[in-house]
Amino acid sequence: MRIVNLIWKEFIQLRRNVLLSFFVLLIPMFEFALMTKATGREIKDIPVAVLDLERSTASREFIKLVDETHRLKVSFYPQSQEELEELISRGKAILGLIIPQGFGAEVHDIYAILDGSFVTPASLGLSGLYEAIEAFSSSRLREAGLKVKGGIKLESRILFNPTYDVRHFTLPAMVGFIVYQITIAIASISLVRERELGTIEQLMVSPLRREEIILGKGVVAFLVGFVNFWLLLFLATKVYGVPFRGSPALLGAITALFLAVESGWGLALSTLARNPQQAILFVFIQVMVDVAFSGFIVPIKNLPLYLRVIAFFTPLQHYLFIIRSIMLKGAGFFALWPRILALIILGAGMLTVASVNLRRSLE
Amino acid sequence: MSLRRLKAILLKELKHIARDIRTILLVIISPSFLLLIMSSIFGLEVKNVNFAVMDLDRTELSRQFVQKIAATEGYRYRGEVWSYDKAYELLRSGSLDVVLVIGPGFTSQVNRGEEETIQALVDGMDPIEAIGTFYDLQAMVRAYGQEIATSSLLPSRSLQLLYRARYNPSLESRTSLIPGLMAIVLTLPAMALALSLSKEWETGTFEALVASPVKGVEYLMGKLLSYLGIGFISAFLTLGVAIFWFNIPFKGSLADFLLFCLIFFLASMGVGLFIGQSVKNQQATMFITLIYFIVPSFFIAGLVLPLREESPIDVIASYALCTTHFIKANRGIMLKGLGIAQLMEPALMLILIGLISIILGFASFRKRLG
Repeated sequence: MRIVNLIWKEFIQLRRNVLLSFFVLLIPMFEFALMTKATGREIKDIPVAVLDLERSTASREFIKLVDETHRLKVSFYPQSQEELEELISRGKAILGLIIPQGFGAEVHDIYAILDGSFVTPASLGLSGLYEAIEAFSSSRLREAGLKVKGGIKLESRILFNPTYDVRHFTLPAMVGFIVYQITIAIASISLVRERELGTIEQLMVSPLRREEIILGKGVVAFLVGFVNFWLLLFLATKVYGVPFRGSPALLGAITALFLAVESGWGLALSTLARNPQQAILFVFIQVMVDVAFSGFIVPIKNLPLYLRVIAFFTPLQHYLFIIRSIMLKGAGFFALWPRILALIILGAGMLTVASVNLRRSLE
Repeated sequence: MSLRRLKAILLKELKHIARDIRTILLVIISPSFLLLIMSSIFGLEVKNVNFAVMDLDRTELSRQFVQKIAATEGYRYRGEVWSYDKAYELLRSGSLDVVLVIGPGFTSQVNRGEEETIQALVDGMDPIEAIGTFYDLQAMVRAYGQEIATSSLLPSRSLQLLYRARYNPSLESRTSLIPGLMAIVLTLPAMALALSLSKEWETGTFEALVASPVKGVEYLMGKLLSYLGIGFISAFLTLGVAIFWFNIPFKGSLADFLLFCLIFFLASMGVGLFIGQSVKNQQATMFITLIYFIVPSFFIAGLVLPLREESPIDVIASYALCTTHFIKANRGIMLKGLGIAQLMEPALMLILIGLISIILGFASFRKRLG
């Protein structure tokens, strides 16, 4: 019963600051909506600058094919190579295409300049260019009345996300990121703040047991994260149309486990910090390292072994894998059990460390 | 505003810093430390595609084809699967990335000189990875097809693409990401400033200051200047890590870099000042700074994916972030060797953010005290 009162006290504290409770529930949703809007569904219309030195029907046909590829958009027609390079250096065009004189007759080369300072769009643009070249070559062959003989064609079926919708990949990750950060931020600052304000002493001399004080704080961080999780999940699936193919109960249970671990960990960070400023720094470091290892920027399976070993110790990485697999692939417990087990083992370890740390710090 | 009082405030902040050297060291060192950790991860990635084959042809030729792909760098042959169900199951659990399906008539079709199709089932969960893998496979299959084709008309007629990547010839993701990551880690001093302000409100030390002859504006200026100093030390350290540890080229001028650091710090600290000043609660401040500085910077600031500028909302959402402009400018300075003249747009945007937030911050400060 006492613990319920204590949790209630935490909520009263949260509610007293109307602004804070507003932030805690509405800002994540608002931000999520904004980021979704700005992410877009796919990477398309990468700007291309074309310098056509040939100006023939063939070259115009080729430029049209480039523009027709899904990924590229011919946006500029510079008149000289300097002008083309200028467009690239200013970041207006990611790709510059030079069609030499004699193109389509005796010359079979095309020159491209890429903006290597921005790798993802540059390499995607390059693949779009190959697509256009392929289309051009086969249409030429057709025109020449030559039938392509032999050869092998690859027909691909992109499973789970057939339209390459980038949102299907990033939105589940964003849900995970946001609830993770909220939980760890609220947990990590709660204890250290009471200590700084001197109210922790008041709690200590009250009849409450130490475990109860900590549990109360942990539960609040957990609940804020968990409520946010369902709100964001609702937005992602109902408003932004990310499919949910798996079991909501399974995802809910795993999320609960994950957030419990993170709030315990946040409280432990709180004991390491001497003041809230240090707490935010710890959270900052923790969050950035976790993001790096989360598989969002670089897929974990592409990392060398020792980094994969380190990545194993970040719960966020397992959680993001699980949330994506459940939502997009409809993966069930049997497909995911190694990850779930990893999360449980890690969580148990982290909570043990955290509770030892917390007990020591309160004595 | 009096210089004497400003000096006194700076001295007070310095004393705070000296008293709590641990915190300040953390603020100064964290950005470069984070850049070191995060960047160590990028650029080490190698292609690692796990594939299995459903070979319904089972001939010499089909086995040869599988061997050919298995021998490709980055492709790991994980055996055969015998049904679509099994294939889907393995793709779903993430143990496979691709399953190649070779139809029963593969060899006879090829021998007859007809075009034959191989099916690839690709895990599309990560679309960027999936696209890369698909194009790779397509190129390999085409090359193999030409090798065994009866008629070889294709190669002589087809176009050759010759390309070169400026600024980063081998298209290394590390070179492209580090100047951008620098912008994100360097928001930390601004976050620390926001928190220190709301701390003063929460613990009531502001009221004590109000009673002193120091003016509020002087106080905020003093705070801003001391964190600006911290920011510059951090900026030098992160630049050192980028250049000397990761060998990222620095083609621009140091003066331009420092100038951009200055306006970036003014903008981000202006926002930090406004947040810490208007929220006055450390928990809420921490929450909002994380949500403004960190979360969106990875998604919509143009770090990994290009900015989307289709609707006004996209533009406002991305342009309201300090990191968006500094990522763009820092890439321009470090990799492309651009100067301030070519980077007017990000510079003006940062100045605009800085002006608005500093004015708002100071104004709300006056109102509260008045």
